[in-house]
Amino acid sequence: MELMVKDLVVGYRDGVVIDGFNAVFSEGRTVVLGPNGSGKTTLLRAIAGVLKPLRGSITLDGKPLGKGDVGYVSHASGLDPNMSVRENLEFYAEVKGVEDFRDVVDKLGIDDLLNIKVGKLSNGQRRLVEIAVAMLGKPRIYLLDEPTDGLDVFFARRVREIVKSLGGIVIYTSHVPSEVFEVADSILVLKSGRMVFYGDIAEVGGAVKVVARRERETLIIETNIDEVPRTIEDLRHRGYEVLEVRSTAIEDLLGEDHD
Amino acid sequence: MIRAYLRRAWRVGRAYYFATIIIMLVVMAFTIAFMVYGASSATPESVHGVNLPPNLAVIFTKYMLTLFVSTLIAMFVSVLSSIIVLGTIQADMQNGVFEILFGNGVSDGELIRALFIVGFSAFAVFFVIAEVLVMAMFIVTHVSLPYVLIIDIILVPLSTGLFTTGLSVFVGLTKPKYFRISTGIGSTQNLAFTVVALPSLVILMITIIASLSIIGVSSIINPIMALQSLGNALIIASMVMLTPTPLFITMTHVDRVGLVSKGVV
Repeated sequence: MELMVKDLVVGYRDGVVIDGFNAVFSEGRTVVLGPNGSGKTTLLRAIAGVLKPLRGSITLDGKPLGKGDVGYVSHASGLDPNMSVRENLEFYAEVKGVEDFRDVVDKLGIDDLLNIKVGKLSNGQRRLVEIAVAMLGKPRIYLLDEPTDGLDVFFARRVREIVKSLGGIVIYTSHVPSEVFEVADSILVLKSGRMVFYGDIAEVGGAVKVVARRERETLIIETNIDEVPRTIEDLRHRGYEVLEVRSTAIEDLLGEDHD
Repeated sequence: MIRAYLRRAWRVGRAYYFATIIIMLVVMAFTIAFMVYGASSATPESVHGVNLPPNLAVIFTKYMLTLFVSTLIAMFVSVLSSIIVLGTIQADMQNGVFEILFGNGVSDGELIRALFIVGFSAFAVFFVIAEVLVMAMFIVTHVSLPYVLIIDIILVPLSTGLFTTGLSVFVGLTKPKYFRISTGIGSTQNLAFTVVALPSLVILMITIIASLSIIGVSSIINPIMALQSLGNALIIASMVMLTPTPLFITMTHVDRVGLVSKGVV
């Protein structure tokens, strides 16, 4: 399965944001990193079909994307706060032509939220419902726009676990470099609407600093980039909370303007 | 998609505008009852300020109030339908529903069809309520009317309501920035509701001004004939308004950028 984005140009009323973007995404998880305003959201909106490109093409195995190919989670919730979780899921299930949403509800463990109005959910619970909407109909491509943004540590970790369990092509934007090491198979760095790097994490190279804490004890470990997932897992296993994962190479790619 | 959206739009409309819709329905019912009662209870003794022979003054009052009823119903039905259409669009913009719908493969055509069905279903409901109410009132109060005025009571709300509903979908999807137009002094104005409410308000005002003007020149023209001509003019105006209504369906295009930008200009 191959998602090909060719010569993509996308813009709004006030100008072009993505200019001449080319990439081929295969099965697996790609994290798109970039500073605010780099075009991450616009890129996802174009692939999802929310925005029509000014130029270029987006194809899945050589064919234009069709209804049901994409599961999309954006900054915009898409959920009506006055309707219950069940009513929102029923609506999107009908829109997507899916008969039953039970399996998605079971998979995400949100059964207890079904009768609660969306307006009464926490940010984390709401994000789980948004992911459930994206998962309806088992799409072949998942587009997730900063899905952990604004979530506490618990829900952010839960969302990352869900993302890791998704099949197909997963494109996940973030402005937090450390997320790359927990989610990604490959990394794509965007700057001012242009791709400055796209490849496996190992290709980034360089040393990575992992900062972790257990009670009052803070640990800083320096390791190779391809050892990071194993290091994080090991630290968590030993009861540490991973506070930060810093890669100088990735920060260099993102540039000085990245916060 | 269309059935799901229709059901949801009514839920959203109910949740966001229930109080407004109920109040408007009550005001409409009260206004209709008041006007029809006024028309039925007009007697040579009770009609004042109309410089006409008493019997003619009674007929004039009945006809004039009937024309007011028809244009008032047109206004109420139009505004109520536009509340559902524009309210649904505005709520869906705020909640990011359009972004998720487009992101899940819903086409512009599907959305346009869904919203026209939402609009016309809302119009149909409010139109039937208003017409049943007014016809029942006329039957109960035994007001006899000429054929042309009965057509007015049906046709004016029908055409104005359909026109306004079509205009609402057109404005809501093609010009979503009208929901929040900057006034230049730091605040924003919802121009969308104003634009779609305007046609029915103009018809109402023209009818009132024309009817009162007829009283002023009643010494040189036959006021009853003049009111019937006004009724005919309203029928012609209704036919003219009906003509471009189907065009809204073909003219409407979806401003995706505007709809996913929460209407901020």
